[in-house]
Amino acid sequence: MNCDEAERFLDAYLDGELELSQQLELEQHLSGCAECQAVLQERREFRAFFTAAAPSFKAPPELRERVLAITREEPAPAKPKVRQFPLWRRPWLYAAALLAIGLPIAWMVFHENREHRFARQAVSDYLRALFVDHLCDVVSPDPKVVKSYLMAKLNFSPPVVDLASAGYQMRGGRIDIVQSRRVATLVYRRNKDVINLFMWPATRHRFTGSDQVMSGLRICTWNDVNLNFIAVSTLSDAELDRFTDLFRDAIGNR
Amino acid sequence: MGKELPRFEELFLPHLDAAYNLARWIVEKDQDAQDVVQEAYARAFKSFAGFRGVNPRAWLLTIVRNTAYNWIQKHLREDNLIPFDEKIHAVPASEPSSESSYEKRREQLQEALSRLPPDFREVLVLYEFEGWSYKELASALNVPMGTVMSRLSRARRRLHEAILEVRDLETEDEL
Repeated sequence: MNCDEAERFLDAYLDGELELSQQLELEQHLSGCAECQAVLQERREFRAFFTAAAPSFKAPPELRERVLAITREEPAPAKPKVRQFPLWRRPWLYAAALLAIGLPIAWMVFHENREHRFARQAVSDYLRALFVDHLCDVVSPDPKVVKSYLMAKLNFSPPVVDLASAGYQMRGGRIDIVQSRRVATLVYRRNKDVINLFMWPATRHRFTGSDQVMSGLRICTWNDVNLNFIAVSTLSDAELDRFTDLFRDAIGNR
Repeated sequence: MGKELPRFEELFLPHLDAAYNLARWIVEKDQDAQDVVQEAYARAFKSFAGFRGVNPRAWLLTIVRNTAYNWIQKHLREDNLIPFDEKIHAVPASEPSSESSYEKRREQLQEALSRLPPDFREVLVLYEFEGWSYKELASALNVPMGTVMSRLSRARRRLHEAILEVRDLETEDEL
């Protein structure tokens, strides 16, 4: 693979959409090409900016009414009676429909968004740490060292486990701020891939567990031993799953 | 009225924001987007009896995008004489200096987005907001996977370039 071909694949690579053979070829090229690595980094940063700043539009209330009017005023061909609905009944119907449909949705969106917001911020912390080249406040392969450092700065005891035998090397830890709370971040590495594992006590909102992709990064959230966890990584789905399984087993067996 | 109506609303009204967002990204202006969405819902309502799918959101959004493209086609014919004018006007002559740099970058992004062709904006919104995979995009847009990959990649690159252009323009204005 040459640089031109590599450049064509970079976005799909960050999207996690390459076939395995293409991915391996690209990674092989990247490992020997500083220029393409720089382009990759530039793409990553641009995507992080784009996902954070891209506009998202909410339907204005009058549009909702216009759409409701379609279904109220244009009857299905078989039932032409709808048109005879007295006008005064419509506002009531709107209100009822808005309440009946809007409330559960608002509730769901609120909850979904919360998990999403956390994940988004975790991703930006991950990208920022890579960007400024400051992955760890404390660098050590020893879980005890990392744990005692983190405990001194936090009001909870983060579980830190050794997964080196499974191929996930402990690199260290740092403190991050996610949604204005202090969280512990463990940094593991598997070959070239970095895993950031964010954790903090779940007070009111417990994560339900989800997998998503943002800015080409895989994100896995879950709740365990009263802590919320977000794992962010460039690993493939299968490898990140394996990591989270190993981690959960390890803290379960302590 | 039977059960049709509540079911239609139950299935499709929750996706109104997504429909509007997609329309805004493709046709850009609020009123135009509202017209597109209203028409898309009317179409969806008419062909609703034929809806057998499992994914009402994707079904609806496909109708929205088709409606949006029809709208653009029609609009282009009508307004053939004044292409791009609005876009030139959209660049503010002078920025209030008190603005935070984040807000400014956001505005630059908006301006840059409006310089992209609609099909580029479309893949961006469907991929980034709706989380559609390449495969889902390929089937909804009716193009091969390879096209999805290159369109999305080109869209991002063009957007990046457009942002840099917008920034240059604004710097010139300030000088």
